[in-house]
Amino acid sequence: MMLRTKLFSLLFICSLAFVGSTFAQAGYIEATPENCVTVERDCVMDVSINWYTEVSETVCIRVTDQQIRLFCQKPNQGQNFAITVQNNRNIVLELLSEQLEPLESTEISLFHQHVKKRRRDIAWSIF
Amino acid sequence: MASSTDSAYLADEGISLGLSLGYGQLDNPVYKKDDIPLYALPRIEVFAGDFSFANTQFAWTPVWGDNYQVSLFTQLNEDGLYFAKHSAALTAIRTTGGRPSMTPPPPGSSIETQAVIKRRGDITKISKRKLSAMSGIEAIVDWQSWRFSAYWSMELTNYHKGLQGALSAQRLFLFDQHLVLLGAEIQHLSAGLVDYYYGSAQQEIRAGFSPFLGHSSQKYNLKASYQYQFNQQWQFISDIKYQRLSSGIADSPLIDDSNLLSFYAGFAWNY
Repeated sequence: MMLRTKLFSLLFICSLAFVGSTFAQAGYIEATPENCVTVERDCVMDVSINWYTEVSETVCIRVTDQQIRLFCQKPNQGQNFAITVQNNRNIVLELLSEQLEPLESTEISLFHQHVKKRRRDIAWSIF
Repeated sequence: MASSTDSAYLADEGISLGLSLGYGQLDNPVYKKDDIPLYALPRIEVFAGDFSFANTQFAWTPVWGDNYQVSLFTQLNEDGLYFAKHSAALTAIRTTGGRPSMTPPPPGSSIETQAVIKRRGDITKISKRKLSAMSGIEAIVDWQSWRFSAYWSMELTNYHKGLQGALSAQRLFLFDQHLVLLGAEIQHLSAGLVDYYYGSAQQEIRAGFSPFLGHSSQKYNLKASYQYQFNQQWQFISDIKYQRLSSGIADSPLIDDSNLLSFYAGFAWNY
């Protein structure tokens, strides 16, 4: 009986910690599309950003692609904020408080597609 | 079983470099000219859009589909290598970008089998034969594991104003990391090209050779390739080619051997 009570208490504390952490992370930033597949050196595409946070009334959004761009005075909830991004590696989007403290972040993953070209002959054909 | 769209017939867009070390030789049919040794072969390939460069070959492929392609190309002429000063280096550069030269056995004829009396002279005193560049059009059709191709080319460098064409067929076999390619080709060389390289006129006669007027001729090639891929960077490569020259070339007093066997085997590193 004693053991059962201790086990229950432990589970209860763990549950509280989990719920607490979930509420602490009440917020998100997401970009659509999440990936960019390109045959070029750079990925260039239009991105739509959605975000939400309870931490701050107004927020900033920082986009790190070829440069670092900051969009401030945004409401704490936004949808379909459209920007064009360009980079040769992953693109980072961050949701910041007005004091520029990081709240949430997400990444647009970049994949280089290797284009296959037709050969007139196999490689290392000597004669 | 291999298919025409298999990786062996595909290349990554961009630059591809490689170096092979091994042993081989290009059989030289010219009298008193040494066979051309092959110890190190470079591979410099660039594929960009419809353009490609493979060692000394440049090609533009504006027409292509799932199982065919039509290219305009330029390449060095093989016959010029036999007379070139730095033939070993030129051959090494030219070969790994070279088209597959494979050929069916030559038809025998009573004229071809007639004994031809050749008078030899001093090969160092013949007129200079320059290495020419050819440019032309090539069509390739893939069918299952087979590849059929035809090309026609004319001279760019204006030394002999010759023409050259070929028909070829090859079959590719792929088993795990093993690649086997068998092929046959018949090449046609115009009179101008043959006479420039193998003809014997005033200077050759003064050098002691019997007179000879080159006329349009054929080369018959059979080829086999074997490659084994150890990993993405390392592979074993080998090529062997048997070539027979038709009488239009073989009867030249400058030609010592009308049956040629060239080969190479080595290890290749790809970057």
